[in-house]
Amino acid sequence: MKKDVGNNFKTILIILFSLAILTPLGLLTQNPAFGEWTEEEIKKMLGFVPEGLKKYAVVYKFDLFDGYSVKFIHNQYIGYILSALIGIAVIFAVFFLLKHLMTERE
Amino acid sequence: MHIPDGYLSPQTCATFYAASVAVVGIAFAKFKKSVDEKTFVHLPMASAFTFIVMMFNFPVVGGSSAHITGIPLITYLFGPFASIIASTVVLIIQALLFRDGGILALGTNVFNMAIAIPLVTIFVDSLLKISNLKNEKVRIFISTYISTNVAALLTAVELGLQPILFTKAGKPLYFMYDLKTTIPAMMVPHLLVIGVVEAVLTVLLYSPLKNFAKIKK
Repeated sequence: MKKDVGNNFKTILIILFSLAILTPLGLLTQNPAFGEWTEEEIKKMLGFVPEGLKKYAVVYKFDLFDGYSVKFIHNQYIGYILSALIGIAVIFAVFFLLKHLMTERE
Repeated sequence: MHIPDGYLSPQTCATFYAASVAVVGIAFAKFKKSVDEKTFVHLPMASAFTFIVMMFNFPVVGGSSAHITGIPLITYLFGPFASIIASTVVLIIQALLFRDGGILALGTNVFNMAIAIPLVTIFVDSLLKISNLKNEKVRIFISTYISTNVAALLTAVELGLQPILFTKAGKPLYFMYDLKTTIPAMMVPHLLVIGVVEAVLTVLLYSPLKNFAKIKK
């Protein structure tokens, strides 16, 4: 029945959006994850930044949503929620595209 | 668990890119065969779920932070191939859009999380089934706990090998701490905290979501 699909979909979307709004809880710890330090943090730890690390750390420069903070929004909690919503939207878009590509070929 | 760029040598990145492209390719072929109407209703939601779950960092022993992945859960719900595709999509988006995990390191991150977790989960689960462990919840707990820790161990070994393999004038070229540091630093939080949290959540969420995932036709 089509209705069941719709109901399930709606409920899961509500759950996803509720989780998205709660994501700032993930910011309560400011400890960096092991092995995910920035160059500044590494310099503080070692006194230097390894040569190769410095070279390859910058190959990719798109930083509008760097680390789930949005560049033009100064409140980090709102930036984090917005990143969560953008991520969800992009994921749905990718699968929509994938569906389109895969059904067209048949 | 998302390795940034610069932490791994180009050689390491290339090796894992090759491995990941091969496995994801196979998974995609299998996934394509099993695709039906409900796949594209459920899979984006599963993908979005893992994405959101990975944003919840919590403090762990040793003064760092970590997060669960939700990947064992979607593996149980949708099978290993769909799970590989769903989590690979998440890791690509995290790397391209949010710089969570590097672009050069993407192949390695896909290998550690999107490939290793689903395959180990299913492998351990079938081993437990063969050894006649009938209690599904216990099976889910054990295989989730193990797969989460395997992913952490892979990350620890890949990072820890860098200063052993790649140095210049006695100084590390890429990641700076060797296995003696990376293994305990990754494994203690995962063995004590993250593996347990991931396993408990997977057990708790599996039954209600399993019925949810079934669409009456």
